[in-house]
Order: sequence, then structure tokens, then C-alpha cells
Amino acid sequence: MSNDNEADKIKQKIAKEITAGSRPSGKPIDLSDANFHDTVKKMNYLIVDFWAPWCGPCRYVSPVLEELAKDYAGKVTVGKLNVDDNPMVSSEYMINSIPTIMFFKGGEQVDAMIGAAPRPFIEERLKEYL
Amino acid sequence: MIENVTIIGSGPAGLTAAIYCGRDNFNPLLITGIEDGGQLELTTNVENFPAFPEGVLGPDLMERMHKHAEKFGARFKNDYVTDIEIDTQPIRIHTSQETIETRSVIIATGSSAKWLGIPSEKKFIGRGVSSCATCDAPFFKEKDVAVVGGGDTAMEDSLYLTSFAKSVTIIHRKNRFRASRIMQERVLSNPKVSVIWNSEVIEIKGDKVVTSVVIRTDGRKETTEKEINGLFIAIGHKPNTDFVKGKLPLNELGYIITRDEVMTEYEGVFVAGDVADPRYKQAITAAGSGCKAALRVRQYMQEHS
Repeated sequence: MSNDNEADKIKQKIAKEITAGSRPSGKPIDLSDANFHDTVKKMNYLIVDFWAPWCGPCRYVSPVLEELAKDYAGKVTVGKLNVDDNPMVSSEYMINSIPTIMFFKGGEQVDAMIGAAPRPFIEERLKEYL
Repeated sequence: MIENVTIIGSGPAGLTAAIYCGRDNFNPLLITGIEDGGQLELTTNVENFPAFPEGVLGPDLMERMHKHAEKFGARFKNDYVTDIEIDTQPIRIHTSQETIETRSVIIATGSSAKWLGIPSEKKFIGRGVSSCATCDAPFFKEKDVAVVGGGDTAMEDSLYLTSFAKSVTIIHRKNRFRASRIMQERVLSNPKVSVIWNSEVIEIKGDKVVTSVVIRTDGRKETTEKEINGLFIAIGHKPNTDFVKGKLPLNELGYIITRDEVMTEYEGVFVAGDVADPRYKQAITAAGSGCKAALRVRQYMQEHS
């Protein structure tokens, strides 16, 4: 019984650390109008995938970013923002074309890529930015 | 490891070739290229692919072809080719990450959307200028947009845009469209659509995003400016043959010149789809050509085993 409690506590702690950005999850995080600005401020390196379910090329970018989230866990945070559900952030960053991948460093946008691209293409930009 | 067959390109030609080569137990390797899924990824409803009387969405069709190829053992590499050595055996394919040695290759790199090539265009890509209406149309709800072009793609883009935009202006350099009759009729009868004939876009203006285009009509000196929020470029395609320039013969438009449809002068080097087809450029003709190339690969492998 106490073991279960212990496990729960650890789980909660991990969950808290992941959302606070102090623990690398290795998975893309869901961004929204509500948490976007806080997350950008908190993360040293954050890549954001602006996407929508109706966008064909977006489907090819998603798995690449999932891979990058895993391979760069602890260094880079990968976030996904659904433009349909989050119009405020999308219009603030004047997203007119998806997929758009934006690179944030220390809370500032430093680079952006428009359109789908294979992993090496995206990774090259990622390395330039690190 | 030396591959049996490597397919470059992931459109209908490449994927059909992968299905056939897979069923022949060649364990094909497919390099997807920069635009994974090819041009059909950027289309909406495909109404002329046999067996889909109700139509099929381009991305869905490609997903099914991808799964179909996977089922028969095709392996996919999300990478792009930078160079190829075709006059050696094994053939050597250089990607951005590695060099692949292969006994045979099917080049099915297709073609990509052309841009206008005017200086202000690049600055506004993703800021109101787009070559993918199906990706970007929903960002132009109740806005005024223009489409440049007069072929089927321009018609399809315009129609799709009418579901979102307030108005769609087609700017076309000739006095009639090249598109199929059925598409033209649908476009011209849509109340949101107007056409500016005999005209070209010579400049795109805006601060952070596009606000207007400058148009020249009939080659006259004076120009007109039209306020728009989005500009969709649909002026045709150019074949993706940069990596074979100087290696395979190309026609004046850059398409690969083949022998017997899918053959080249080089052993084990085959070509399929739009990359060698300046004329038909259909999903079904590309798929058919992928099939032919794969059957030639089978013959080649039998003769050289």
C-alpha cells in the first residue's frame, strides 16, 4: 500500500516537472493559447510545430518532430500547436501557411521554416540554432 | 549492403513501383524526398482516379498507396537525394545523410510547383504568398485572395478558396484557360470568382504580410494595383531533375528523355512518372509508369542474377 503511494508521489512529481519544463519528457508537448507564452518564456530551446488536422503535409512533419523530441530530450523542447483550436497565438505570429516550424531561444523567436521537409532538413536548422 | 532496387520519390509513380518491386520480393528501398507523398499531398478531392466514384482526398490516396507498398515490404527513408552515380555498378545514390549502393534505381522524383520568380515573392512566402491552397486556404477566411494561373491546379485552388475567402481573383496571362472544361465551368459560374485576363503579377506589396499586387495587363506600360491578402501561385510545375543534370539527357523543359518509356542508356537505371512526362501528368499515368518501370526492373534483375 505504502509502495503504491510512493509510486503515485513519484509519478506526480515527474508530471509536475514535465509541465514545469524542468524534466525532459522526450515527447512533444501540447501548446495552446492558454499556455503558449508561459512555455516560450520557460524553455531555453523550444521548437513549435504549427499544424492542423486537415493539412496533408503536416502529417509528415509530425513524426519527424516526435523523433527530434526524443533524440534531443533535455536539450530542446518540442511543442505542437493546433492552429484551428488556438487562433490567438496563430494570429499573433501571423501564421498564414502550415506546417510552420518556429524556433524559440530564451523566449525569443529566432528562426522559422515553412512547409514540410524531411528530417535532415529540419535537423540541420535545429543544429544551427543550438 | 547493396540494395536490389532503390526508388527515388514517393508520389504515385514511386509507390506503385514499390508495390510491384515489393511483390517481386526485391525488398525495395524508397527515398521519400523533400515533398513526401508528392503533389497529391497538396490536392483536395481527386475525382478521376479509377475506383473512387465518390472521389478521394489526395492525401488519403497517398496514405493508402504508402500502406500498400509497406505491406509488400517496401522500406521508407525520409531523406532526399543530392547526387547519383549512374555509370557504375553498383549505382551509387548520395542522400543528405549517406551513400546508398544499389543494383537498380527507379527515378520517380516528379515535379514541383513553380514560383513566379519575381523579387518580392520570396519575402512573402508564408506571409500571404502560397503554392498550396489546400494547406493555407483556411487562413484566408473572409479575405480577398488572388490565384495566378490558368490550368487545372489554378481552377482547383480557386474553387477550394471560394469556401473560405470573400473573393477570389484569378490572374491569367492569356485570354483563355488551359484547364479542363468541367473545371473551367465550375470556376466561372462561382459568384465569388472574377478573372483578370492577359495579365501578370509584377510585384507583391505589403509590410509584414501581403496587402496588394501590382498587375500588368496586355504588356502595357501602366500598371494597376489590386488589394489582396493572399496570393496563390498555380502556374505549373518543373521537373525535379537537378540531381541528374549532365548525367541523363533532359529536354528543353528539364524532363528526362527516356527510351521505351521508362528506360535509359544506363544499366539498371529506370525512370517513372511526371519526371519524364511533360504531357499527361496524371496520378493514374504516373502510377502506370511506375508499374512499367518495376516490370523492367524485374526483367533486369532476372537477366543479371
